[in-house]
Amino acid sequence: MVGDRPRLVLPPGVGNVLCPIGGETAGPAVGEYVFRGCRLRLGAAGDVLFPTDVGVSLLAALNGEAAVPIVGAQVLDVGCGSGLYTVALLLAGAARVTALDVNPACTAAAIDNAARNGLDPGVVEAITGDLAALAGPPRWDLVVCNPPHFPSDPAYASADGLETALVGGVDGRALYDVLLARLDDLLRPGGTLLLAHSSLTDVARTEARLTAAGYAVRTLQVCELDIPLRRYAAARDVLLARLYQLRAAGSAAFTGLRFEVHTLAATRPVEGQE
Amino acid sequence: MIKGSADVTVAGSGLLGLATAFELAQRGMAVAVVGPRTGPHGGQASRAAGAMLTVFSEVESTHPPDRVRVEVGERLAARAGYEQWLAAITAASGRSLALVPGVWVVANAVGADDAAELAAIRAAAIEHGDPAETADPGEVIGLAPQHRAHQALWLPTEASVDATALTAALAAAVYGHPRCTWTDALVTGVRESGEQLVVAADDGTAITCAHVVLAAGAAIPVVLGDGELAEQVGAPPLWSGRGTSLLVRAPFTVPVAIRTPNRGFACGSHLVPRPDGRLYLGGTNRLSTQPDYGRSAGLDEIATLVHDGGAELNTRLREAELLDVRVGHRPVTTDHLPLLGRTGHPMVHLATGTYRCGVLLAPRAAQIVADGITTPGRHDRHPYSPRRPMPAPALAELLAGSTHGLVEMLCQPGGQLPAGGAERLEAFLNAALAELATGRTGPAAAVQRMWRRAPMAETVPLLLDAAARVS
Repeated sequence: MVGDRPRLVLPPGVGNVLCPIGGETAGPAVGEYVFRGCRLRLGAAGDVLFPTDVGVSLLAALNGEAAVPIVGAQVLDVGCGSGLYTVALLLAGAARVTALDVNPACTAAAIDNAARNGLDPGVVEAITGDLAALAGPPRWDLVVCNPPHFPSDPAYASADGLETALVGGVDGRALYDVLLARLDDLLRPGGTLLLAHSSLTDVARTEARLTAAGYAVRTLQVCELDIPLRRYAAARDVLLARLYQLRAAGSAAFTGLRFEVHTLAATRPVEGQE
Repeated sequence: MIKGSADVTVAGSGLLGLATAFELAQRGMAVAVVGPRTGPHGGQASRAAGAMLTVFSEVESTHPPDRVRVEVGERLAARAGYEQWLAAITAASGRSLALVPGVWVVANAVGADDAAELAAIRAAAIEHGDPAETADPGEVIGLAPQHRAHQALWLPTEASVDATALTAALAAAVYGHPRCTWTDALVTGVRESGEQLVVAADDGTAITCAHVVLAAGAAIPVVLGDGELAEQVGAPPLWSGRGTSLLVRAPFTVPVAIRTPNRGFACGSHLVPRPDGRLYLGGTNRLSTQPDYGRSAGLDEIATLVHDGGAELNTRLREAELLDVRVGHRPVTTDHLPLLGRTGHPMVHLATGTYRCGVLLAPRAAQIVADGITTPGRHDRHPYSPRRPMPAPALAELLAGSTHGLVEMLCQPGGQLPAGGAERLEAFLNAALAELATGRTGPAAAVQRMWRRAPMAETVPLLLDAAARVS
């Protein structure tokens, strides 16, 4: 069914194609994106990653996708960053979003950006903390996540917030694996996980784990784009060498600096319907 | 999964470029080669090469011991893996390749210091535990020169290979590799686009990739241009030693390669067996600061080859049938050491500067360059790193070491000066060149410009050409 997946190809050598930086010249960089007819404006500065095409590609997939119900949904935004998904889903009709991030600058940015877009502060529940420690019971209709996807290496390690947003352990899968392990504690039966899944972090492995857990997995879109390396430009030879090892082991897929982001929708089975 | 992109683009389709592409493809990389695949390959050093695997016989008595140790070490490493490399190419291409083992080095009175050169070569072999057997020149089959050889050195671990067959087999292996694409065109430039590198060719092709390996010899400075990228790459200066060689059918047999030691800025004369009884005769060497890849062999170059070959190797060469004439540009640096691996830009790598040893060094060079991509940092302190300091030698030092070779070059082969004449001429040239090196006249300024551009001994013969123009 590979041929049926919508494919979005972004041009090489250009960043922020989907969400161009525009607007004010003073203050933080502000990106603009139109999601389901609503114009959203996102600011990010300092320790908060500006929305990249990797993350925005998930919204592009949802733009043409009516089958994922957003209106009235209770949403968990895992690793909320600047609050891109939090703001977009609220503007599209979500009832309430829990914006979770280990980086306090991100939860603050998500609240700021909700206000920037005229949203009622009461509909955003910001939690600074670790997904592994987030308490149940399962109460969310949608869990949305664009996990960090780069493998770690001492050559480009740093302790800042951007590192948290981009680097996910030795194989890049650290947050993916925690998310999969905890999914049944988070999603109510019938709820859906929306994942911006990098081809650097073994899409097939995630699909197999979800399927084995009884989830119905669909690929809403495959987006082909440049690996967003700007932050690691000086050490990108080392980063790519780590990725060559993962590719040789069959767990990363890319050519040159081109890779894919698969927007996955995985729906938790309702009891008795498995 | 993703089309129109490559992990690595190799710019240049000579032996070094193809060896690097082959090595990278075997390591799982998606490789794009840009360079001539069909046509005459005008100017490629690989196609004009004698292809002797000269581990020791390139050693010169005047080379500093440190340089000898480094160069012999690298050539030994290349030689150790050579048969295995040929087997891999054969497996991939279906074409059989074989080495002809052994090289004879002969000493004669043409080179005043030939005995010292043979001693230096022998010492290098012995130091590295390889055999080097002194023999009577009468034992060397095919050796019948005008000027009697007084000594011969048999180097059984050196060898020769058919460069044409090797290049063709490697080209077939790369062309047929599922992870390689090949754009049959000349590379015209490299630029950055975001974090991507874009390699442009003269047929309009533009390849987007993560890494670029520049293996286009002395054309590399032209490809890089003088923009921001070239500045970050910081490639050391690169020139070419233009060499002409002949393929002949001679009325005598040469079962293994015969060569003289290096002398007079050139690589001496050498005869190398090729399949079907053909013989390779090489080679001239003329430094070229602006290589003209399209220029065919000059009659002067051909005359020099025939004359030197007859004088030093076999007088019956004049009876040979001329089958082919080839011109190649050997890439060379100021310190005469190769440029292999990462540059000042993390994604731009060099595979060049192998001068007279490219055929031997190709598999070793390919490993070093590929390591810079798959295991970055591994060879950062390698003496062939393009990031090594390369201070220009002092002019006075260069001149002192060059005039001896200049007189030898003018006299060879077999030219006679009266007793003591060579020494007096050398002293005179030293004094004259020293004047030019410090003088303020127009001709002196022209000479100084030439020195600044290419501060190396091989520039001295160019002064003769300049002298003709100045007067």
